[in-house]
Parts: sequence; structure tokens; C-alpha cells
Amino acid sequence: MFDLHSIISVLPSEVYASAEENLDPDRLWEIRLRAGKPVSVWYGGKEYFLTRTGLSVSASTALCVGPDDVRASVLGASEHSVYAYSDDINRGYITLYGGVRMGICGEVVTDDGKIMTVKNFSSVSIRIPHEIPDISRCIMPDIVDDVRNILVLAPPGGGKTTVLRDLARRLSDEGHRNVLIADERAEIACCRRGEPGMDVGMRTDVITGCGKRHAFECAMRSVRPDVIITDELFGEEDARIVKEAAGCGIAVVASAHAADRHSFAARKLFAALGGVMDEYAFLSRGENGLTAKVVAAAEYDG
Amino acid sequence: MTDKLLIAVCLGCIGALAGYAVCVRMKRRAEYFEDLDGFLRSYFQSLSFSMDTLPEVMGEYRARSALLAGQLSECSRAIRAGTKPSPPAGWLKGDEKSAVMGVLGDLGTRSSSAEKNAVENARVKLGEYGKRAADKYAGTGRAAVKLGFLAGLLAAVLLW
Repeated sequence: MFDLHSIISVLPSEVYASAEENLDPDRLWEIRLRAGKPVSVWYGGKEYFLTRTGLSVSASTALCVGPDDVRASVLGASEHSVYAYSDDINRGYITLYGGVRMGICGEVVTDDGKIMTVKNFSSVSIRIPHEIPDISRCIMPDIVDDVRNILVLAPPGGGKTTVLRDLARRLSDEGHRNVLIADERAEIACCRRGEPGMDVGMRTDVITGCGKRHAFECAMRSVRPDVIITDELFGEEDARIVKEAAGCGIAVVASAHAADRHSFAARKLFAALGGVMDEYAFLSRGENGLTAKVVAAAEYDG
Repeated sequence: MTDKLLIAVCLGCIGALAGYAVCVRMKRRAEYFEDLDGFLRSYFQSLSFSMDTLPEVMGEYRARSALLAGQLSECSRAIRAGTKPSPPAGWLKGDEKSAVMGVLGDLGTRSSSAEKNAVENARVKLGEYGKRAADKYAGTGRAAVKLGFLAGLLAAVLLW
């Protein structure tokens, strides 16, 4: 269960006081601090503004934060040690305890194309992950002996990462598989200092903070996983890596963005994967929660 | 006569004690700056190798000066609580106080290379205070006990 006190160092005192007094941490999904703008929260599936006395749909009474508050928030997230979190800040996020992630926006300073630092922080979004046990049953009701290559598809915020996280835990704990999570942005296992912030299973290894190629190569050479789970396949390079892993006999469960069943077929990624995926699982949120339409690759043409 | 001799000895001792107190204060000041430099040195080493977070470096450093220990402890606590650190100034004087508070308050706010430069600059700047304090202690601190004793005896002679 998420404890609001774990993020006390990243919230301005007024925001923390109001959140502590008025919000139920279990229904809180996101807090956004934008310099010079009202504080907004994603609470119980809807967006509100945070006021001194609770939530409001109107911005007029909302608490506002300034650039110094946003900077203090980033400093708090980095334990007042920006140098130790430079790589994370340059990548645009810091992972906090318990899997909470802070996305950071600001002015990126580059030198010859290389990101040197980020300054003049303009906003941060603090995302609070929620584990939903057994949510992955929507794509795999029971753990099967022969785990196939599955691509989980949904729009941003559609629950892909939550499903992958739970599937990793089930494959590991129930299926007794060695699972490797190639967690490029530390979103699935939410590792902080080597310790997963979320329950991803007792037979799960996590490689985080590096590109997919490095993670997959490390995995194939030395970790001997049965299943590799990774987030957000994007371009042709990602598709190539997945093909290599699948060619080595390792099952790959991955996710990618897709607005709906039809639009994915138009993406270059679909063509680049070249039929390596055995199943496509299209997630959608409805009144009954998250549901999935699993389509065999042979039957899917968009 | 005996009474007067006793008073003279007492005054001499009181003077010596006062001198000793002055000496201890000077020594404490010199040791504080030496200790602060030691902390900054270990922080610099951490920046070069292990990249430990500031609270970790502060927690691991064994300060000999009670004032520095209190300051590091307060900074560490404030960082964890997400509040602005306000370390105790203790007996630091005006310009020393603002220099030390400025350095401690700004630690950890920069990227690695900028932080290293800032720490080096801070060591140079605070080193001047340290050198001044050490020189003062070496020059007059030890003499303060003797001067205090002599001042006590002088007071006794004047009273005689």
C-alpha cells in the first residue's frame, strides 16, 4: 500500500498537507506540479485541482506552485544529490521509493547532440503505481507450459505496464520461470538502488537503466531467462532485438502503444516485427475494468 | 598575610582559567574548520568515485567537532524530510556563519563536475577562515593561559 509520507520530500509543504488531509492514497494516481500553474491530481480515475480543503474541478481556488517549488521537488527526489541522479534527470525521470516515478520537464542543455544537463525545471509529474494482483489474467488466464511471444497493446495510460508487471510476478511465482525484465526506464519493476519497488516475483531478474539491446544481450549471454519482459517497443531496432531473442528460444512478452486494434497494423513496428509475435493482446478500459482482446498473429491483419 | 597570599593564588588561578577558556575557544574554532575541510574532502572523493548521496556522505562522516556533527545531522534530517536545512550556527561569527551556511545549503544542487568545482572553491574559501583560526590559536591561544595567570597576579598586586 502506498504511503504518502514516502514522498514528503518531493512535495511543497502546503501540497503535502492538503494531500495528507484530504486524499485517500489508494485512489491517488498522479500529482502534477507545473511552475506558475495550479496543482492537478489524477484521483479515482478523474483529474482535479488540489485546493487547501480538498479537490475541485475549478482552478480558481487551487494551490499554485512556483519555479522554486518545482526545483525543490526535483532536489527532494534526488535526495539533495543532483550529481548522483544526473543520468536519471537527463533521461527525464527519477524513480522514488515504492515505485513512485517523477517525470521531469525543463530546459535540456546539449553539447554536440549529447544531453549535458536539464535546468530551469518547469514541471514534474509524480506517478504513483498501483499493483493490481492478477490483472494479467485478462491476457493469460492460466500460466501455460509453452509461453508464447505476446505483444500487449493499448494507448498511453492503458494499463500495459501494470499487466506486464503482474504477468512477470505470475510467470515467476506460479509458473516457476526465470523471468528477466528489460526495464529501460524502470517503469515495470520500479527499481531503486537495485531493489524492485514492486512485486515482480521471486525468480525475476531486472536489468534497468540501459537500452533494450544491452539488456537483451546481457540476458541471452549470462542470465539464461525463460521469458523476457520489456516495455514499449518502438522502432525497427527494437523489433530486431525481439526477433533475435525469439530466435534464441526465449519467449518475449512486450508492450507497445496502439490507439486501437486497427491502427497498430499501420505502424512500422507491426511490419518490422515480421510475424515474430504469436499473439496480440489489445487492452481496453471499460466499466468492468481492464479487459483484453487476444488475437492470434495469424488472424490479425488490422 | 596568609589571606592575601591565598587571594593572590586564587586570582592567578581564575586568570589562568579565563585564559584557558579563551584558548579552548580558539582551538575549537581551528578544529572546526579543519574538520569541515575533512568533510568536504571526503565529499569530493565520493563525487569522484562512489557518487553516494549527500545524506549518505553526511551520515558516514565521523565529525570530531560537536558543532559540525550537529550541522551535518540537521542537514541530513532536513533533506530526508524535504525541508530547507537550517543547520545550527553555534559560535560562528557573522561572515564565517554566512560562508558556512552558504556552502552547506548549496551542496548537492549541481551536476557532478559543477559540484566538484564548487567543493574545491568552498575548500579554498573556508580554508582561509581555517588558516586564520589556526594561526590565531598557534600565536595567541597558548599564550592566553600564561597571560590570564599574569593578569590574575596583577589584579592581586593591585588589591594588595
